Amino acid sequence: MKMTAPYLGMLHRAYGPVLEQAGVEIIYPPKPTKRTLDLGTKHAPEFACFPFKVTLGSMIEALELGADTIFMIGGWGPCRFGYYDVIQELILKDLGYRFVMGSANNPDALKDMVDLMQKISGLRSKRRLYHIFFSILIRLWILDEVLKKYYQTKPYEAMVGESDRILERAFSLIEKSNSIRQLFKSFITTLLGFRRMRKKEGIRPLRVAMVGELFTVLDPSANFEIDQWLARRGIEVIKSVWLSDYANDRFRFKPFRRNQFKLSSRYARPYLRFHAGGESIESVGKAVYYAQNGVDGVIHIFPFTCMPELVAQTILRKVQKDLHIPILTLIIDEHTAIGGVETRLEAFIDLLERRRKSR
Amino acid sequence: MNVRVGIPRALLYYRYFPLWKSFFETLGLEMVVSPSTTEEMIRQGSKFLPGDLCLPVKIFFGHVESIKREVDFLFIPRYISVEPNAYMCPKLMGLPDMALCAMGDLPPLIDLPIHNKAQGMGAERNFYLKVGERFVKNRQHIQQAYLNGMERQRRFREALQKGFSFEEAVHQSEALDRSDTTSRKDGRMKLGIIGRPYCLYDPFLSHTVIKQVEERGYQICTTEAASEQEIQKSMERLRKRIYWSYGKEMVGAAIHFAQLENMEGLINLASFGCGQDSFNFELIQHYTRGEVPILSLILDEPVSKVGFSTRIDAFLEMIARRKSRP
Repeated sequence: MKMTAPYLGMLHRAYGPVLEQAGVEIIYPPKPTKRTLDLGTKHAPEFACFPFKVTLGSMIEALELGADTIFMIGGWGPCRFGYYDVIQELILKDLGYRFVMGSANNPDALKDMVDLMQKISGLRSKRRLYHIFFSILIRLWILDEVLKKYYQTKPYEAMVGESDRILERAFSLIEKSNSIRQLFKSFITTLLGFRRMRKKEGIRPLRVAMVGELFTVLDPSANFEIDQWLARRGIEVIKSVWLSDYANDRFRFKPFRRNQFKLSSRYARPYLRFHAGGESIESVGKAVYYAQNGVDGVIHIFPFTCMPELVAQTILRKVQKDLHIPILTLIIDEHTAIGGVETRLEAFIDLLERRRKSR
Repeated sequence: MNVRVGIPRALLYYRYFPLWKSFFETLGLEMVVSPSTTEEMIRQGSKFLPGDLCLPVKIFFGHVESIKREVDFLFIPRYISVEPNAYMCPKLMGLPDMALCAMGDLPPLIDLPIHNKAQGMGAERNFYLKVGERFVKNRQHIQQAYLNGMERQRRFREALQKGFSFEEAVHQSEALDRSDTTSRKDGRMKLGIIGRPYCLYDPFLSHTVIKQVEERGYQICTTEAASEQEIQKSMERLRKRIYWSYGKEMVGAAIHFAQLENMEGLINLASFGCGQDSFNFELIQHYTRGEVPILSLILDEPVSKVGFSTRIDAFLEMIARRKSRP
């Protein structure tokens, strides 16, 4: 079996080494490019959302490389994501590809995830399967923490590019660590690296939060790496959703992390009283939280025709007025160009800087 | 003076109107239903909302705007799920919150949730009991109002399944003597129109479509003409159950229609940017391939009637020519 799975943020860095160690042959799709998106757009329904098109394109490219099994997470709504795998399978089979679609329909249930691990690795031992699953989760957690630390320190770096070097090294260290013990060791090495880095004194960088739909917030192919773009300009980036938080809300493997969904629901309560699917409650709740905790501006980013985030967008307009926080809405589709996004970001950053000076 | 409850003539009005009407009337409340959709309402509604939201929601806000000053309460329930294992659209789930955030100066809302998935089968009944308790003390009275409403709703759905139009079905549900209840399904050539109730039955949105097809001598089968069993049966062909109530209905009805005798074609009616329908129509196209021709129409602002009629003309022409071919 040659398995493949579309990219989602840093997920491939988490499952890749663990599964390879368990003897699974993985074919990584090429990094999403213009061609990926064109392929996806060509075969997807017109109003399907952007992540659908990118993942479909990735699947086609992976199948071209010889993959024969695709793994995709499903779900039971109300967001469209839960039905991706079914439609994608129909489309790909119509195109004449021969493959097996291995879906996991209950990503919330531990049992289903372990079953998924069993399907992928073919191992029998329950103990090993649990071990594999939790190794992936812990890897995901450490990757997220490293990236968070990077966003926090990047604006302070005295020598341009030093934190990027530490980040790169961290990624390769984490990839090489093949036990949980080693994983934590590389984590500590990385943290020390960030701490020992020479820093600028006496600056107070702008803080900008990215809220919105999971895929567009996390995946570099969907958000044009605006997080890096902001970080290079000396702005501290905060993200509202992380894959490890998403998993932690369900599996409670991070001992000191609160349930982010519950936290967001509490902050969103005056505006949105019931979660309308997807990340709507996280978007609203975290935006309120950030507004009350000294963040300068919020970027709300989501794919075109995303149903839950459109609800959030309507509500965020009110949040913006009530809490006096600038919110920039970025809607991503296959026609969005990096130039247009950068112009809008520059204007937004200008606005934030002027606001801060006038205070 | 009576308490006036405002009901916007949009979205779920087209599904639950007979129930709501009978319920509020039995409770002795005055019901204010907004007038029919106009161009002006769409303009009004779009003012409050981001541009990418779908047309039915914009129309809904237009309707709210048109009656909000005349009523004491606005009835905007939060429909989350009406059957086990199926959700409504996320936009309906956030509707009361969206209304409060976008419009601000609204009369008190009746925005209780209906969450069948979490509360079980009694969710709908509990909802109406709770709504009733706001106005009337007597629980038995409320219960009676709910039962009356359900009876009307049942008759309404029955009439729709027999092939009556929305107006006729509403009228039928109220009629005490039930003389004209013969089925409208006869031997004429049929054409299926697949869409959400609020796209199909809003006269402003779909009038030209339905009227034109009828004028050409076709008999219309709307999504709701398919019965629950027929939908369930079609669902068995799918690999994964659809977890949206209306998606299930539309796909199920389309697959069922495609197998009917005399079914000449299907017309898909969706609003621009409808997230669920993009997937539903992909499924419909896949499962009815080679059985019937399909025309997809997208509703958008400004609602253009001429553009539709050209395409429907061409589609019907194509069907006619297809038939005449040996």
